[in-house]
Amino acid sequence: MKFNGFVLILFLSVFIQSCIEKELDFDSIKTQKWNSEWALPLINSTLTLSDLLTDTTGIIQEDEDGLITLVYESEELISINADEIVEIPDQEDFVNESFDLPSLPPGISGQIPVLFSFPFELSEPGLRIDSAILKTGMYSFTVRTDINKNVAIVDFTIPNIINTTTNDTLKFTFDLSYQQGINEIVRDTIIDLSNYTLVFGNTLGQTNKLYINALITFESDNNPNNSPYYISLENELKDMEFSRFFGYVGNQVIEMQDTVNLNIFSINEEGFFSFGEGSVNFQMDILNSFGLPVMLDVITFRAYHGGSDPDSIDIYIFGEGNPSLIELNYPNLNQVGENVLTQVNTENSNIHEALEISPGKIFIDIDGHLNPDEDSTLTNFVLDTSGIKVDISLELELFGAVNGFKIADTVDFHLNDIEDIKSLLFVVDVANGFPVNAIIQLNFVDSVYNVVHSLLPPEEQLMIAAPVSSPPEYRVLCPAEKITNIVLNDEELRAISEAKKIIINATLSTTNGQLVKIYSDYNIILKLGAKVGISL
Amino acid sequence: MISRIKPIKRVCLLILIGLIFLIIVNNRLHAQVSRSVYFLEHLPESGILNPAFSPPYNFYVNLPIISTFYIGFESPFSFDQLTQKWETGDSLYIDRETVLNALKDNNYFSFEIYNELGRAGFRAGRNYFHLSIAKVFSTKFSFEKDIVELFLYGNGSEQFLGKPIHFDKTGLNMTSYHEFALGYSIRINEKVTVGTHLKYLNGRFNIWTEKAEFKMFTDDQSTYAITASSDINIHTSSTISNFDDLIYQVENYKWLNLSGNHGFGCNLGVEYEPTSMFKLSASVVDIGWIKWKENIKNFKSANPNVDYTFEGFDINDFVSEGSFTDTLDILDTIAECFGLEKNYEPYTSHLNPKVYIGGLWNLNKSNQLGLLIRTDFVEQTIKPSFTVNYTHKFGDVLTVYANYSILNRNYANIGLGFAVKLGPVQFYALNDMAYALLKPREARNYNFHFGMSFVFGTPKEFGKSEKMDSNEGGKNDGE
Repeated sequence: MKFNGFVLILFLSVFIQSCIEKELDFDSIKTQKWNSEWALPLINSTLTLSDLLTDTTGIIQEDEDGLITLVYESEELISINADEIVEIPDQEDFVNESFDLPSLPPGISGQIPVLFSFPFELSEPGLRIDSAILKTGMYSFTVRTDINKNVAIVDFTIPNIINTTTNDTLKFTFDLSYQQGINEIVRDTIIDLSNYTLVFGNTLGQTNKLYINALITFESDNNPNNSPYYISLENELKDMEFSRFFGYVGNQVIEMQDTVNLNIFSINEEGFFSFGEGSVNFQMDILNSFGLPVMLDVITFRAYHGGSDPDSIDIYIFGEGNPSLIELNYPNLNQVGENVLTQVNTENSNIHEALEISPGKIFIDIDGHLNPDEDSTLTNFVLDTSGIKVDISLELELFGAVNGFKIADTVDFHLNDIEDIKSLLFVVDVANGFPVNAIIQLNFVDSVYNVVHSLLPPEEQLMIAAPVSSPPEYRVLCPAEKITNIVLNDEELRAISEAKKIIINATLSTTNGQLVKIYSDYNIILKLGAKVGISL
Repeated sequence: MISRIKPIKRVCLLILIGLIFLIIVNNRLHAQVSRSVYFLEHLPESGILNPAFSPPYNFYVNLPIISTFYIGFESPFSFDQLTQKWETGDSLYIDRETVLNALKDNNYFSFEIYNELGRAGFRAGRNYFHLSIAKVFSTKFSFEKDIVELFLYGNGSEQFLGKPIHFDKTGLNMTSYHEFALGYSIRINEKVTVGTHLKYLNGRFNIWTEKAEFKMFTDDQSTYAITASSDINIHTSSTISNFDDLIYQVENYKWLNLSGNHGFGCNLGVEYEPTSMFKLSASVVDIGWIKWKENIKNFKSANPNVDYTFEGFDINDFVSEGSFTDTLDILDTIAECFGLEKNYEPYTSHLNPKVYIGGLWNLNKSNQLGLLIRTDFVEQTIKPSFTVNYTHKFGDVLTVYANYSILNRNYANIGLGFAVKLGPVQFYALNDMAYALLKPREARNYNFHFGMSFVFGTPKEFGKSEKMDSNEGGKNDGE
């Protein structure tokens, strides 16, 4: 009986053990939402002007005092390639001459000269080649004759084609000895013209004519004299490109266009940037290596302001009412291969007026007239590297006043998985080293641009302008610090989670329209921390 | 005689099946240390806690698998303290206030397994010799209340924002070793017995957090800049590549596949019996160390206690040549500042010594009162615990006991257990926290200890108390 009690205890123990797993049912523990708060520093950055402006490569310059100048330059105002202005077309000519052989006793030699000529055609009437040093070109030459002498040769000399290196005239010889049963003798050759110069002795009425001199040498024999004999030439010159061209290219028009983006204004919505006196430098320098008269005609030179309130204004280089015609300097025969500069005086331009609309871009369209006077007696020269490059630069010294200069940008926004975030506090600590106030607003909008939440109170001044010293330095005395708390509650977070985009608006202004200068050592120390309430 | 043996065999079989089942079930239950065995001197395993104790038999042997197995778990809070019931439904939730209220400044979880391959002993006159082989697995994760509070409330809460946080009591100490013990006790006279266990330890696995200090300060005056420093020194010796099935991996270390991590330990004990009514005893166990030499990886702070202040990311670091970059210098800096250097130097870890002081009062032949004070020396802290015991003997066959313990700042520890002797077969199932079995949701500590021995022979001349028991039991063992 004693053991019955023991067994009972044992089985009770076993039973209890098996119950424990049920009792300690960890699977039945569900999540209880409790709020914990986590404070994290997010951003600690020192931002300079180059960090604040996008795509600033090469546009920021500073003088010895550190005053910043933004330099915008044209990049595409370059003429088309020279070989498109002057082209040497392919030539294809067939010429035929007849000649008589004197009757001589067998064994006696004789010579008969034959002269050929044909025009070297150019693409347009009135053009003229005095000479052209070729860098490519092929000359296919074929001769046919019915001469029937057992010993005969022909020497060809082409005085218009001269070896560029040796200065020798192009010459070549064919054997025309008769072979029984063959009535027509055909000989041909192909000559690479890449080291030859075309030279034309142009005189009045004799323009661009190619001469070929043939000298037939034979030995009299017993074959019958079938005079007159014929000799014909097939000439094909093709793929000729020059490295240098002298002559007359005629009156042509070349077009040049470019758009200069002034990205400092590109996202401006309204307001203006008033530049201080002497802070805008507008330059127009033109390099020309065409050895011929050129007149540039500025067809369009216009500043555009985009955004919600578009505007534009024409820029007059020499002042309103004066034609924008620019006669270019050009190299003379002693300056072959050199660029000759033409500096345009823009003192009377209305560029200041154009900048007042905060143009995001400036469009330029220029026609270049070659030989505008159509004087065909002139000797032009063109190299395969010749061209016209118009350099327009706009240097904006950051000295001026800003008034309600509003910039805006829209960025995509996508926020999800924030169900556990119940509150959010951003602490923005800005030590502004720039003398510019900033009112910033971030509007969260849905897919149809309805504002679902505005992050900051209206007119919240996130950055206070740093005070500046007196003229002429206008230098910041000390940074202005401001700490702003931005609180988002649960409801606001839910609203933000519905947003698809953020419209960022920032309105910049100098205090009371004061003139300021922006130096390279200015910066903004931006610190951002967040306290996140998370429901776990 | 035959008819009597058969029921006994059936009972033994049932009990054996029950015990095996308990092993399986108890893989999910945990306990501390079986203090109860201290009061059951007739069990050979009582010598684990006091080497002066020797069983009242001439010879005993514990067989593998059914030798001695102990498992214990301690927690700073109970399941009920961790969870609350929703007002609607049966689901539970974790209530942070309740959890924090349950925690003290410093807390720990502990988990221990003592698993013997075998044990044997014999008496030679006044001398008793013992031999045992065991696997010991012990882990203790210490943590501070503040670290839990930080997790639950966050560094942006009023508890922590603008206030320094300092953690230096958090760490993991986990070790597994094989213990080869040679025990000896001698009855000096009728009143005094002394004993010792000399142990060779062979380390298999160790993680020792020698130092894990971390300081943090979240500035409330600015944009929440965080200043932090750390000083960490963690030693490991392990062939384990991951922590999945850790217990399984540890338990599957082969018994005699020894490592080069050698150590030695010693237990000392004394028993004093001024009269047959009273008995006093004391012991010091687990004095020793292991020199870890194999598969060492030590992790030490590269810049101990060097403050680093993180004020946020630099926007410019995100953008490189107009495009976003995925590598941030700041992360490299943080990694460099708080990074750990690795080395492979051998190190020595010490066992956590324990001191037992006990007393027994034999009220009569069947009833006994006992008192035990156990003191654990863990790192630099002392953790005392107290146990009061009542034991009742039903003849020579069944001994049951109940005890009450105060341990790990927990006052609801009622222990129940029994030991049965059926002929030469002696088995027992002990527990210091039976309440945990009855009310597991309210318990913070769990343990279970069982084993089986084969005992033979009663000494011809033994102490007075044994004589008294022997006379009253009216039977000799091993018959």
